[in-house]
Amino acid sequence: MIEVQNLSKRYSPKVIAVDNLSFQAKAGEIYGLLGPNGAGKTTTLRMLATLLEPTGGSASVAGFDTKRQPEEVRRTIGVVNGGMGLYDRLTGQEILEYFAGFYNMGKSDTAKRIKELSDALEMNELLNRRAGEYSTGMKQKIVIARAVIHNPSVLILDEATNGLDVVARRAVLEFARNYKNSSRVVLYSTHIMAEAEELCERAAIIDHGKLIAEDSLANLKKRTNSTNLEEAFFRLTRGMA
Amino acid sequence: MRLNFIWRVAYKELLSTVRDTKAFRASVIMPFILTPLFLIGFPLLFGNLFGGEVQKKQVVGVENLAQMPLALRSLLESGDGGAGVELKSIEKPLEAVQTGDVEAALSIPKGGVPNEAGGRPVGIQVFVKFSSSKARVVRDKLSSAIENYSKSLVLKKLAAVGLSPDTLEPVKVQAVNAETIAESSGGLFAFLFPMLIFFAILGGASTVAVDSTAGEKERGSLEILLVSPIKRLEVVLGKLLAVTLFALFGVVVQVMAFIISSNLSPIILKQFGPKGSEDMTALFGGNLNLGFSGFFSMFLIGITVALMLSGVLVAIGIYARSFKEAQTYLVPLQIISQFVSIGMQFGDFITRSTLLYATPVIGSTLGILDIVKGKATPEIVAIIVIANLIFAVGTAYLALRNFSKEQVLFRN
Repeated sequence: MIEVQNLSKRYSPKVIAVDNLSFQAKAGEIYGLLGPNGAGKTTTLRMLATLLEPTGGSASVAGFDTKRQPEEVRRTIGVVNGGMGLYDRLTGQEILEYFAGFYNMGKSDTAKRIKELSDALEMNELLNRRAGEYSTGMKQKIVIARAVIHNPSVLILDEATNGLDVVARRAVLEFARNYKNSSRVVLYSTHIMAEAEELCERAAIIDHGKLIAEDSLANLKKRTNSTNLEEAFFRLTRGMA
Repeated sequence: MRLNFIWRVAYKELLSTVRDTKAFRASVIMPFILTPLFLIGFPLLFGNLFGGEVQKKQVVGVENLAQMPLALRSLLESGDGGAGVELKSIEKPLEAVQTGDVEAALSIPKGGVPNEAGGRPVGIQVFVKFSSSKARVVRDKLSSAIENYSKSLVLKKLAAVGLSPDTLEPVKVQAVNAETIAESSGGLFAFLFPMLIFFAILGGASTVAVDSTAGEKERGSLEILLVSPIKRLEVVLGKLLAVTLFALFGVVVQVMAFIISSNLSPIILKQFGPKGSEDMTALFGGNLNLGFSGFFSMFLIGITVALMLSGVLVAIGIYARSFKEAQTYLVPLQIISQFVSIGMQFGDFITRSTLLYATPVIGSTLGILDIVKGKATPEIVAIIVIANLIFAVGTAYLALRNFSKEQVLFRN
């Protein structure tokens, strides 16, 4: 579902954010994109989301080329980032309806989908309140609902648990786990190895824009003689494996 | 390009702005406070201030008071046709004025002041602080009384030798005011009209522009909007539409405030009498009978200025990394518009040309001033409107260009 081939992003002759990155994420899996802060994870995801244009290589999402078919790509993805940006003076219902409109969802389809998400995320009491009144956890529910309002086949989560308390963090992880199915893929980008270990089947580890390793989590640990992913990550990024 | 997407973006921005009740109320209420304050309050304040000062019986120190002729003293002290001041004997006039003991002082020469014309002229020194507006009122009163005394001596002398008073002025200068009624109404403070229009546009629209660009960027919601299947052109046009509609709303509110204030001012300024009211409004540009065509022309220019500035506001807003940074960038824009308004007020010496009227901000300011002063023609208004529309396309392109640049959208 996601194919990345020698993807590069050069901001200036001296600054290369992503350097010849390649990986594949298949339908039915939660794929981890792991790396320390500044590794190039967000730049990679922005290129996949068609926000940034690659300076080299190519990428396709759900069969659509990110350079040639950006709008089709955007139609098939949902993005949750750590920013939790909402419109404070709009209600949850209005925010969800606003975004649904960009996917040409009719009124009844939108209402039906909001009801589904409201039940799944237990956010019924939030819908008629303005976002400015929400707690961080409440905001995160609306952010997730907004990302999947159109039922995308590719869900991208970029440091999605940043700043969340333990309850809200758990809700995000649960949602990601439940979202994947045989026709969907979840791309989970994080620097928190415990979250990746809990969720992902396979992962790409990147550092300084370069791919360090790509494999199943079991194989990554095996290759580095590590008991957990954090140890494996440390050894791989320090060149100790 | 999908119009429903553009409207969706614009509607969200408008809804969000209207719900910011404090900012919205301020943008509606401020013109209705500021406009009468400037156009009626200032004339009222200055009228009362100067009127009060003229009526007031100031204390004037006099060196060698005993040497002052009775006729001159009577002219200075008399409230009926004279200066109406209270005279007080002092020794050091300069010091007395500087220390504030008296508001003004006269120095009568030790040899006294003549009580008939024909001898050597004698000077009477008047001490006042020149920079003080109040002191200028006293100086004028004293000078006028002394000149009247001097004139009375001359007239008496002329009568004694059998000459008529006209002997002194065989030729008289008669200045005739060639201003139209509207021109004379658009007085010293006519610059308030363009200034308040720019203020209304920038004040109202910049809130929407900054919130919908730099604000969205700061909150992280812009990135989420851009990953939905909407084109950047549609996002820019939606935001431009919202900013422009709010700027237009500002123009409408401001023009309404002008109409109300200009209709109220003659009623309120009536207390100065028909002539006083007329003088006051002529000086301050308060009672402007622009009529339908005047206000309509002003509205047309205001609309196109709003269109032009909306592009600039959105372009600047998206360039900034945060709400605060955007507000900092907008300050020079506001200062420039205010300075141009004030500067053009004194720009009668500037040679008017098509190019000048087509220059952004300057042309519109001149146009509004011309409307106020009754000089604007349909051709002038058309030049300004067309030029502003062309620049509006340019600024919209600038906004779109900034929206298309990765380094602008995602710079940290």
